[in-house]
Amino acid sequence: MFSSFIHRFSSPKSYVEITRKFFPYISLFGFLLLLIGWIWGLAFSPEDAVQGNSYRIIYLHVPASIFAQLIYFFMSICALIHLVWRVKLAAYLIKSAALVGAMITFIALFSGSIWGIPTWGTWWQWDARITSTLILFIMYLGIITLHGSFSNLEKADRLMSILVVVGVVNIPIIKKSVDWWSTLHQSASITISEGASIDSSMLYPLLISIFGMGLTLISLGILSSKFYILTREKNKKWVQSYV
Amino acid sequence: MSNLAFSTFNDFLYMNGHGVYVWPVYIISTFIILLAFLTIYRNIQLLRKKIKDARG
Repeated sequence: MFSSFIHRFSSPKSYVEITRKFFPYISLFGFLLLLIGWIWGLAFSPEDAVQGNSYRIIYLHVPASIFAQLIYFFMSICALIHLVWRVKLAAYLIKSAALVGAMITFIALFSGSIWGIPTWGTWWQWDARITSTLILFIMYLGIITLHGSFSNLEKADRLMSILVVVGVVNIPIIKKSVDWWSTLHQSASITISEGASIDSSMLYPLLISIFGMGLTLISLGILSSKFYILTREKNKKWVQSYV
Repeated sequence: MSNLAFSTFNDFLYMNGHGVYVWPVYIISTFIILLAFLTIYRNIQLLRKKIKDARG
């Protein structure tokens, strides 16, 4: 029953048609929220007592870091669906999401490095959180490269899915690295179990930036997946009539 | 959100010496995200044209 449900709602054609309707709203709402969160955080939130104004990088760095991990988690679910039920759309989504994931992980590493200069006195340190995030970035690049190196695309989809599932072990390591090891990187400012450790004047713009970044990345993912689906299915009848 | 954290626009840009770290991060990251949107959108348009041309 679950298998027939998955196959019914996993046609690339339906996916492209459904996401086409929602894309303008998701992207517009995402951009607006991100803009509000960033303006609030950059211009209205008070200066941090310890880090001064350099902490304002948080409104970009934290959303980027959260989605660098969440995108990989989404890819691992798609990989399982592809491996178990052989759903083509799931493989298409992995390939498209990997590009978005690589981009946002780069931004997380870049923004963290710049933030490290005034805060830690160094732009790089081989500590557990930073190194495991670098490994995540390398994994995104590896997934893209692996898929691109095969001429048999079905085989490439399967191998890419296996690599994604194996690599998901890195996600809890990134998340827990600041608790398991003594790292230069600070522990999480917001946790589900303990709530937020920062003041509401800094927290609200951060939450808005996180939602805004999420919707912006979803819209980028929709666009990326649309391009990849049209490329893969360009000889199909529905694509011919769609364009 | 009612009170600005800076008294002048120059203070806002300077951020007590931290603007040199904060602004490049936002500008470069925004540029990367916008570039990704534009590149993929342009690729979709090119692909559509290619498919249309091939169809004749």
